[in-house]
Amino acid sequence: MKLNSLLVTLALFTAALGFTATAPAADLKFEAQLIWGTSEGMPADSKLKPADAEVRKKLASLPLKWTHYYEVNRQSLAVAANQTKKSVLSDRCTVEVKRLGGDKIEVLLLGQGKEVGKVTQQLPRGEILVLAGNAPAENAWLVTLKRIQ
Amino acid sequence: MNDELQIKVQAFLDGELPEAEAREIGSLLARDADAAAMRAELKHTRAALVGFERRILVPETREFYFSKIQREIEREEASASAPARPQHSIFSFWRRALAVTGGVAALAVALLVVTNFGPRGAALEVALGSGEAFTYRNYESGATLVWLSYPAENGLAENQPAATLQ
Repeated sequence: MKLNSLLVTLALFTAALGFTATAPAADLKFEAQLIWGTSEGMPADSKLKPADAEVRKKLASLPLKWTHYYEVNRQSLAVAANQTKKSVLSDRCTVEVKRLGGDKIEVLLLGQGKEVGKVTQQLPRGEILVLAGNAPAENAWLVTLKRIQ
Repeated sequence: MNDELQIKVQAFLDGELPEAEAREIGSLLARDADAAAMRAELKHTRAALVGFERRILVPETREFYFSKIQREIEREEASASAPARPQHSIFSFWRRALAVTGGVAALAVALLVVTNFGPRGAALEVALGSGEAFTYRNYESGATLVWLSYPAENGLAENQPAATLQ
């Protein structure tokens, strides 16, 4: 009787182990935003809204001089293991996110269809990656990628 | 534009060039579009970083502050050169044992902290299509910045929101 119980337990443990090993890894969820940074106010007729408070707080922790950040576009991405997802943020700006394993991702930024830069890093949940550069009239463009889940 | 010229443009902006060389670079900036673009980029970068250099103020005069450092160095040198006194206390064995145990415990705690609470997402690699980049990471807020020297005129988000949204 004792031997039977032991064998059943062992079988269940082995089955559980096998299930865990073969279960598909959950998608990583990201939020990509195209943001316009400026130190001047927005024209009254603009339809842009201020970037969300959490993103603004993260941007404030970085050495950037701009005082206002406006959201141009926002896209959500769910990326499966070893997959790549593309997000078109404007007619000039596209971002591709590739999962490399674990929290590690590769982010490819395309400007007018050409590669601007590629960043590889671990992006744990809640962290944000910001790729940015100068825009005309001493303003800035920013592409933010926030790991949601 | 070669590296030497880039350094000279930077020195020109910082006002560090001798007069003759400054005139030469000033003239180059007036006629060379690449050099002018480089100067504009450097100005933007410098402006972006303004205000992020923290000044540390010491609540003493400069002379007194450095004299304290000098005294501390002299004190440490004097104690290092003094002959070590042999210790014959009955507690010396336990002190040594506790020191070893404490060291091992401290190492274990440090390992635990690094393993569980150490900086995450630190491994950052950047490859560029062209131009240059600098990176900055704020571990506390969990934010990483990659600043790209992508030409402003090709800006991905323009200052005309309507055009950007199209």
